[in-house]
Amino acid sequence: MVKLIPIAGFGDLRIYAKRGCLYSFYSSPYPAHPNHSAVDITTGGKRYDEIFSPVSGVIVDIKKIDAPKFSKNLDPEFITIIRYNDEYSFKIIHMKPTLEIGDYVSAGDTIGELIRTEYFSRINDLGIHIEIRKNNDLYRALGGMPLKPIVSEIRGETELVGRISESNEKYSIVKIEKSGASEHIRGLTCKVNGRNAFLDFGYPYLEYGGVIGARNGNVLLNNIKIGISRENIIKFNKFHVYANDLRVESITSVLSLKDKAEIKITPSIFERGERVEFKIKEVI
Amino acid sequence: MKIEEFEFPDDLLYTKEHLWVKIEDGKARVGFTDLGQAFYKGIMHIDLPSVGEKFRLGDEISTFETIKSVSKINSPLSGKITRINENLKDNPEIINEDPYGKGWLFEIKMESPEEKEQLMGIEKAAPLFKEIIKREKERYAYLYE
Repeated sequence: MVKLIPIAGFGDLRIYAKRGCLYSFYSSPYPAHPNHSAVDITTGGKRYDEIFSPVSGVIVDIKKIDAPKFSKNLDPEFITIIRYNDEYSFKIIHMKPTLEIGDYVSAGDTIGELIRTEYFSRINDLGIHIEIRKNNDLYRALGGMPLKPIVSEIRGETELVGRISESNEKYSIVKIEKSGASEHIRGLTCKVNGRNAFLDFGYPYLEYGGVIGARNGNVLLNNIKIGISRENIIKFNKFHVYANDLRVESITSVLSLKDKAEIKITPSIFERGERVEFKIKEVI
Repeated sequence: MKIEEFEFPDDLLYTKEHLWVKIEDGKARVGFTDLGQAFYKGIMHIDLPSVGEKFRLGDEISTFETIKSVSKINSPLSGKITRINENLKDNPEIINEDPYGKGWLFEIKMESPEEKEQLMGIEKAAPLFKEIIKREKERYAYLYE
C-alpha cells in the first residue's frame, strides 16, 4: 500500500499526497495560490490516468463546466466538492470524478481521471488543484481557507548540480543530486535570513514565488539574493539562471515526494543523462 | 452573425473587451458576448455595481470569479446604473449559459450619447473577433500534435 503523506492542513483538515508526487502552493498564476489557499498535486500521470483523492469525506456536489469552443480536444472541467464536516468542505478541480454524489471517499482511493482543460499551458503537467472552503462558499476562486504547509525542519543545503532525467520538446527535468530534505519532502533549498527553506516557484513567468519553512527575510539561492519574502511570498529581484553556461528561459521548482528534488527548465536544451550545473547571476 | 463557433447578434454593439451593448431610449443593457463567456467558463461569483452608482467610460464596474480566476469588467459607457441582473447573485452560471439573454449584467443610463461611436457594430467588430478566435485556436493547437 502506498503511504499517504500529509502535505497541508487547516485546523484538523488534512490534504495528502503520495510518494512520487510533486506538489506546489506558489507556482501558479491563479489568485488562490498567492493567497495561501490552494495546493496543486501532480503525479506524473497522463490524460485520463486515474488520480487518487487527496482528502477524505463525502462527495456532495459535482459540477461539469463545458470546455470553451477554441478546441475540440479540450476536456470539460469538473468541480468536485467533498464535505468534511458541517463547516468545511474540500474543492477539487481538474479531474473527472469516477465516483458519484453521496459516495464516501478515503484519501488515497481513486476518485477520478486526470483531464486537460484550458487552465493548463503547454508546459504544465496534469494535476489537481485543491482548496478548503466554508460550506456556504464552495465554488469561486477567492475565499478559500489559508493552508498551512506541513513541513518539519529542513536539513541540508542544495548544490545546484544534477542530471537530466527527462527531456522532451517542451522542457527538461533536472534531478538535483544534493538538496534539502524534510522527512519525505525534497526541494530546492534557499536561505531566508539564514534559515533553510524550500523554494516553490516559477521564474520569470510568474510575478511571485514562495518559500516553505520560513516566512520573512532576504531569500538567497546559492548565496545570491534573488528576492525578499514577506509572509512566505517572494518578491523577486531580477536574476538570470544559467545551465552549463547557457541561459535558460524559465526555471520551476516545487516540492517533491520523490527521492530527489527536481528543477524544470525551458527550453529543452539537454539530453537525458547529461550533467547540468546551474549558476545564478544577479541582473544589476 | 456567426464567427466560427461563436454567435454575435446583428442588432447589438460590441466592445474590444467582449461586452455587448444594446441601447434603447438612452439606456444601455450590457452583457458578455458568446466569445467573452468562453474566456471565462465556470463563472461562480460576480460583484455587480449598485443601482444609482455612476461610472465613467473605462472605470472598473464589476469583478467576477470563475472556479479559479478573478477578472474585472470596465464600464463601456459613462452614466448611472439603473438596473442590475439580480438573478446573477444566486446563479451567476447563467452568464455562461445564456450570455445574450438571461445572463445580461446591468443597465446604465447614458450620460454621453456620443460615446456610442466608440462601440462597434458586428461588421466592424468581426475582423477583430476573428483574429482573437484564431489566436486562441492556435494556442491549443499543440493538443493535436
